[in-house]
Amino acid sequence: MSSWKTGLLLTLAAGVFALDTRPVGAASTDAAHAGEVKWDRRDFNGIWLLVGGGLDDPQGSGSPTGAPGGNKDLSDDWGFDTRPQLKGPYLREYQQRREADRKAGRDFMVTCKPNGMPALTAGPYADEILQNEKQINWFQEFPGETWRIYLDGRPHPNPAEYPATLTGHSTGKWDGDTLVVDTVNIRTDTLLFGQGRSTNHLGHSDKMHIVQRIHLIDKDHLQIKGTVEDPQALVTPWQYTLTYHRHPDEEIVEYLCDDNNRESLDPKSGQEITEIPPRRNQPKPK
Amino acid sequence: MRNPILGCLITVLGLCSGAAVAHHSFASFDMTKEVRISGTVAEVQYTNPHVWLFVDVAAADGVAESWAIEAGGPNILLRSGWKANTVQVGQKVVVTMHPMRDTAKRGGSLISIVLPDGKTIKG
Repeated sequence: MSSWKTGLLLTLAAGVFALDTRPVGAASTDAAHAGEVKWDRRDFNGIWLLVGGGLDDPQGSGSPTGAPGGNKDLSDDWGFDTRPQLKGPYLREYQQRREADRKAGRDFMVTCKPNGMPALTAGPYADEILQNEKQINWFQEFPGETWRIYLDGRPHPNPAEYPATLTGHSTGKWDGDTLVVDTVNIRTDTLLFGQGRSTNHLGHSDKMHIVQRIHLIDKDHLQIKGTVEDPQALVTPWQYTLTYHRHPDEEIVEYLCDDNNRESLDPKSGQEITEIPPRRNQPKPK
Repeated sequence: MRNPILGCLITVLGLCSGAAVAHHSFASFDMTKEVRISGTVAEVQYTNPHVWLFVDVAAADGVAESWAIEAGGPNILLRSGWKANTVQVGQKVVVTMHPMRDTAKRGGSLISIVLPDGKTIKG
């Protein structure tokens, strides 16, 4: 091929990417990544585990039971790499909750409730992403919670008409090969970090707005760069990064938090109680 | 503990060996201690949200002492190589656990289990 033809093709290719007219989910595998193994930079389908989590390497040196970030204080960090700077009543609520936990000798309050956004994305177990051109369903195994991202151009509903939900309402648009997800209308009892929920709806304000830029770093690593804005609850916008490792051989395992749950809280002391389940066959004398 | 138990080793550690992820904290367990028992698998309750393992340990008076050990959920154990039929009744195993704070209960949170073939699985 002559040099001018090559130059024309490169110019045309650059123009295509500048216009970004590809349909959602269309592969950007071809000319742009010639020489690389072909994979679709807009295809997030698959099973993903948080990098650094015990489940990503269950028999490795990290926590044996799936703690994201190894030996992090999960109650404070959950799986996030940074902490938000709460203020006002939201900070006081956090401090009171943590003080109650400390007095009861627990890391966090036992719960089978879904965490909602944004903690869902830092959940400890497997994430399953199912994606088509109109929608992404992001399923977190704990405790079986789905985050839906609409890609069909629909607007957010009027919050006066639709009640807030744990996962809020999320719409996504492509910026090159990065999906920019906008989430609003999240229930105020979800926690910005940590496990569980705020009992007095002071996890954040009803003005919380999350923008998540989701992209594939490479074929096997997905990353979210999140920004949480909430002028009522945060000193400054909270920015965090979450990275996931693709596990193509995994599949979701049913996790039923309240199936044979033996954990509860003593209503008086707040102490966590682990009850040994009844044994079916009792030991016999020898 | 009612009697000294053969094969039971209690080690006081300076540090917690790592927080575990679950729907609950681990306040019921003394995460600074480790107990190791050698015994026979009496029952496996392979259930959500946690698998429970019962191990009988021979005691001096001839009555086996029953230990109950809480492990991760099936979603954790399956990925660690502990499938529903991996640990079976009658197997001789060595179990290391964080014991319950209430020492009247012979129970713990699983750290690891050594199977008859020598394979070790973390909780």
